[in-house]
Amino acid sequence: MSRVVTFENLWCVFEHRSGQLVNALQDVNFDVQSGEFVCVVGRSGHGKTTLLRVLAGLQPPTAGQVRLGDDVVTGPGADRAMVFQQDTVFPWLHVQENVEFGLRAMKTPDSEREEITAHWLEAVGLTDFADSWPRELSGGMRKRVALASAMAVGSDVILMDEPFGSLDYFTRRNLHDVLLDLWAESQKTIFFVTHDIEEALILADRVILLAEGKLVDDIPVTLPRPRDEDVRAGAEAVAITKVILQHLGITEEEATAV
Amino acid sequence: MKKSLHPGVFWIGWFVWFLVAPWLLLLLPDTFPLTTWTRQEDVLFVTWAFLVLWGILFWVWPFALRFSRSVRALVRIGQGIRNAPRRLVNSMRKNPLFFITWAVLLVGWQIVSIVAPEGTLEHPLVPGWDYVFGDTLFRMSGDWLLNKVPILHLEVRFEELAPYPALIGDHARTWPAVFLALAFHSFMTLSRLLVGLGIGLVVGIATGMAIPYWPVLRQTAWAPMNFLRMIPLLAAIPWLQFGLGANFRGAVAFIAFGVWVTLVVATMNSVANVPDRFIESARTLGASRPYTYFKVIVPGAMPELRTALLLSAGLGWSLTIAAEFLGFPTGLGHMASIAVQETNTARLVIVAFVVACYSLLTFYMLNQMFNRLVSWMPQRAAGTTDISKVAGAAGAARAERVQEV
Repeated sequence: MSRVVTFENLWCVFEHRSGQLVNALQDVNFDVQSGEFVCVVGRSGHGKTTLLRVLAGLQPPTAGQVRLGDDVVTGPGADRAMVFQQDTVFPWLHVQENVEFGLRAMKTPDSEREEITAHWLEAVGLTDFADSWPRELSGGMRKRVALASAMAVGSDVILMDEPFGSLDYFTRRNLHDVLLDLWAESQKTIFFVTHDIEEALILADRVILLAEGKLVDDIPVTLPRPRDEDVRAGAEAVAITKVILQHLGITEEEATAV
Repeated sequence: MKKSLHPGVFWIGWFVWFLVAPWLLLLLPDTFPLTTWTRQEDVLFVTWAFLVLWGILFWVWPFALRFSRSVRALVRIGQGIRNAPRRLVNSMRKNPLFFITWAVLLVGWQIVSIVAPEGTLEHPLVPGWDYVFGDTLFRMSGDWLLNKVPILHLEVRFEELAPYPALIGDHARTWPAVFLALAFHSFMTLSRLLVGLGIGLVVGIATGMAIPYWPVLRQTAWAPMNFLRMIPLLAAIPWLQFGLGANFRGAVAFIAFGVWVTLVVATMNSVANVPDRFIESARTLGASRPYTYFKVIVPGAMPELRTALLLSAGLGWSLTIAAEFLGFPTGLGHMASIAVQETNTARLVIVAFVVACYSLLTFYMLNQMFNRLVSWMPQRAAGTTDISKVAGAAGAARAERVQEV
């Protein structure tokens, strides 16, 4: 059952070792409808990951709350599976065992578990590698395993924290296609944290912009899909890019110089 | 295809068969041609024929149950023996420094033994290899202390096999008694070590895994555990002897205590070092706390635990020898203590050699066990890290220069 995700007056304050207080999130408020693909964009250290971790239940907020439907998020759970920036595929489990990890944890009956696992392995194109050890796979393939593991638990919401950040351009583009196919098929709500504007334009229905822990803009992305180079070079895409760059404090000249 | 026996059943069955086989031999009638042993009421006089037949019966088990595999294993062993000289030559070519080092050490020792002053002691301070593995080894015949063993109301006597030199006198020394003496003392040491180390390892890992799971336990146990760890273990020997007596139980308790105390802290550390990202990932995939603990933290701690475990096995050996050295009338440590009383370096060399062989074997077996347990890790034989990779450009440049020369 799909539910609306609501962020209400969310504050997250950390105390630095020197005693200084750092506002990682400041009064963040927004709703995400079920089935939306939301990209959270911002500079490093401006609260993107914290926002996702609060939603995942891995970080308690200092004030405010996150709700999934009517339920307030109080801890981690399989209804908000997360794909991390680092490699989180368990190296001591075979690929198939990794994908069925969550299902085993939730004591899904054997036949159903095998069916679901086979389905997601096929969806990410790893059926032939089901019996491999993670160390035998490339970085991109391990990301697919992580993606399949998250999809397999049947969450309403999938959280992705710069999952493809460490991959090369071609692998990343390939995984964008895989992810968009899975999203189209499953109609899950996806929160995707990235600092890459191009990645956000390829993937998002909506871009949430964070700067210094504040929500500075909420931009709908209505570009037609698939968003190939032509679409991304179009007037609408360029306009969105400019808005994002302005919010990030980068002028157009600076951006082209980079 | 014939369904093969479960490996566990096979190995346990073999062990049971090892214990049962001699009793079957006792059932043989006296008229059987090889029954040179005699049994008078409840006393069994063991002979070489008895031991040889026991040995043969021991191998009947694998040949009866896994004939083709056993034959293959024999063939492999045969091939191994046949290829041994060639492999030795190959490895000498590949790693000459290893062999040169050993040769220099062994020959150097022999030269020192010749030039060193004899001194006034009964035994030379630097004994030559001929003295070590000739006269001194032969004298170990006198350590054969066991001429009868009670086993289930049956008194087993070895008198014919190897007379008891300590009773009969120096002229009664025999080579069988030398090896029986080494076997007997090794058995005493190994039995203490295996039971002590086994208990220490199991309880140590279990406690080390349990303490981090419950925060209250962690907070209460951390300080006392660290305090216990700080007690010098050798100082605990008399304490345990007073409490439990200088017997098997006392030795086992001491070894188990030493291994346990070290391993608990090491296990807690390896649990603490499991990367958070694995734990967080498991939790967001719907795993409960206990499930995460057993399926993520425990396997994730294994690689680091491997090092701790190997170190504890080494500690187990040290503790066993130390305990025997200080307060037991049997075992390899006791043999070493006799050597010290006699200021007999040659005897110490033999004991050190035997202990080194056993501890190498222990490390090998533990390593094999762990290799299976962490088969998911990239496998690398111990000590094979190529340091030139770390040395980087400087090392590589030097290697090139050597090649040019």
